[in-house]
Amino acid sequence: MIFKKLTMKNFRVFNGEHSLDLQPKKDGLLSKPIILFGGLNGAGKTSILTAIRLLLLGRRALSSIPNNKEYADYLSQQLNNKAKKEDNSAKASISLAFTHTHQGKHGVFTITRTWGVDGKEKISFEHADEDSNLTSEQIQSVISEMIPPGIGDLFFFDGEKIAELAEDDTGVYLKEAVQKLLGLDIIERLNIDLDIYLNKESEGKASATIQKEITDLQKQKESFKAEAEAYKEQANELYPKITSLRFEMSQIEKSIQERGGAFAITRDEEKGKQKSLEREIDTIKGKVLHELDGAFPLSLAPNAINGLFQQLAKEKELKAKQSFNEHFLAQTEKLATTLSSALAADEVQVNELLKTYMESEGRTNAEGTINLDISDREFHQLESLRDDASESKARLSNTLSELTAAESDLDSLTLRIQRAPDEKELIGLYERLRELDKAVAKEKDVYKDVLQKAQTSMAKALELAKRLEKLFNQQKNEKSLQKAVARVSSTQGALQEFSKQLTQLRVAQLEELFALAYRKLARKEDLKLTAKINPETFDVALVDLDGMEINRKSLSAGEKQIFAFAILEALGKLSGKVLPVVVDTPLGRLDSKHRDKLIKHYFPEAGEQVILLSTDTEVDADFYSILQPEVSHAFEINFDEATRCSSVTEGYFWENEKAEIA
Amino acid sequence: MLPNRMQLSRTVEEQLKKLKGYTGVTPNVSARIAFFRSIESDFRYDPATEYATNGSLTLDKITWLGRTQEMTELLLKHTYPDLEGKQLQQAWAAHVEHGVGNLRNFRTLRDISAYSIKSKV
Repeated sequence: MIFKKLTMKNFRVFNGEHSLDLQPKKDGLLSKPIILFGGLNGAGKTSILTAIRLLLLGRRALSSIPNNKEYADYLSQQLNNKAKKEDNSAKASISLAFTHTHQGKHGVFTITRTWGVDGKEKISFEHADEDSNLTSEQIQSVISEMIPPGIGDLFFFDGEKIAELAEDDTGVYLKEAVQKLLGLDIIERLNIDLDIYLNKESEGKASATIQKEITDLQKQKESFKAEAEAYKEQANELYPKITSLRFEMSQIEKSIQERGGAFAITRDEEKGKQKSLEREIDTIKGKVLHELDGAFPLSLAPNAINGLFQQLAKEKELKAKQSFNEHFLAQTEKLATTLSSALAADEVQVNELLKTYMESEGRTNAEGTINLDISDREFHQLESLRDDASESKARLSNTLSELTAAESDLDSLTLRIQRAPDEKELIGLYERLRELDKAVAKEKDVYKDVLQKAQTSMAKALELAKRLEKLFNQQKNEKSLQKAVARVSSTQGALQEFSKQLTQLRVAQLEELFALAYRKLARKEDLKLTAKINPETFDVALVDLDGMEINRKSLSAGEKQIFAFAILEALGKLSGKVLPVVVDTPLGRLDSKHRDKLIKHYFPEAGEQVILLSTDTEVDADFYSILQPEVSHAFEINFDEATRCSSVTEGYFWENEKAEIA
Repeated sequence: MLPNRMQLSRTVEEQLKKLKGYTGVTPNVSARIAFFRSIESDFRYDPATEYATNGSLTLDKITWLGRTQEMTELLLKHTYPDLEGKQLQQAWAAHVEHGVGNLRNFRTLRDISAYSIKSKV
């Protein structure tokens, strides 16, 4: 297959129609396989790769296979913006003419895909010799026959993205492609066809009653299965209900907790306590007031009262003396007579003496005055009052500490009561909680019931499946079938064996080719590496000198790219398919040595036609001069900032400059 | 001795009434506390100044003074030996006014009684 001409109209950055001649030219007998596209980032290199992939792979060109609407959206996005703005009914089209040998006919084929803003695509397919009236689907399947979809990715790819191939150790990327390329899928298809043949054969030959039974049972089985599925779905719908109820419950529990639910329970009790405490405090206060109302105030003036008592004592003494004096004076004359007669002295003289004494005594007494003049009884009353006062003070002190304790008890109790929410407030929440609890229990029962039903239906379906199997076996045993079965099973055995052998052979060849390709592209130190391909998963492993597997995850991005290129080359060679190779951003992550290897050894030998889409830093002046003998012709894509569209001119970056200078 | 019916100054009377509102201690009892606090201090009434006892609360001596009556009268007589009757009553009123100074700021019964107990041993 050789691409002859690519035409793009209003496709992505390309406004209007652009035609590119892709046919490699020959220099005498030497072929020049490389068509080089140069363009800066965003110029439209990837648009060319996309156009080719889209043309040949259709919707499989996208990384994940889209549904109709997604594909239409995608296509409408690929319409050039400028064209869309200028004309709402603008159409985009891409078209590729290529030579190919298909079903023994060699000739030029042209595929054209046209779509408008709505993304509805029209495919036309022309063969040089004849007009074909095929539907879009038919055309797509013809194209798929020429280029199997799994293979497209191996020939038309983005150099940077292809590194994913090396990272993948599941074999997803390679398995399909390898099987298709090596023709292994045909064997599998044959196997499946044989199964179908056998089933049809056995159905046709079975006796009418058994056949009827089989169809009945199949129907029943299906209906049970559907029933089970329906129940399961119902259960799935029920489950979120339970979770949401549970969630609500936990919310309510949380809010009860937040409002001090625990306090609420003891609230009434505490209110009672509060009342009795209040009463107690009132009593204590009464006691305090009573003390204050009694003798207590006297204790506030101990010094003043002491002073007063001193005075009172002094007055008492004074009064005693005065009364003694009075008594004494009253007795003086009598005393003088008695004394003078007893002492035989002059009575007058004695009387005189006594009077003088009394007078001098009386004078000293006169220094104190009696102001307050209280009776002895009153004095004793005052004394006992003073004692009362100090006792009262002691009592008051005790009563006060009682009061302080009671009041602080009340304070903390009041605080607790305040913190506790009103029970009424919580009652609603508790009720809701109980309701929810019931609801959850109910939903759970329903859920369990539905699950149970699903299980029962499933069990029934399984039972029927067993019976069906028995019936099928019974049929197979019927004579008329025996031969066919034997034939088929022996053929299948042979096919399996063949497939195994073929795979092993192919894998061995692929390993050899891969190692060859890898050595060619890799640096010197990697030259001793060999490859090992798992024949079941088609996972490629690198093996070093000592037979140790190298972990591909530890490879650098550049090394991965080289690894991927090697796989591609090996596969391409082994498949014998002669497809053009289109590579976008071929050298992105590579160092100078790897670039060198790739430029010298890969591109010139990759195929009969190699389309390279490169920036000026990838294939730069040096590489260009190395490549030049192999380059058929080159294009440069220029992006015009003003129109935000690109145009393609012949020549490569430096060629054009040279031309301008000349 | 003190006359049988006694009054305080209007401001002191108001203060005592307020105090009753806060603490429950009646004016006569708080007046007693105030008097004894004051008589213990260095404050002395100067008879030369005319002291206005213009309060509206005119009570019996026995109601004002209760069990402290005798001691109050003796203390007054002892401190002011030259005063009699009306002047003695004014001295009492002046002491109450002086003594109520600190008390009037109390807001609870506990505070006022605790303060009373603590003040001077």
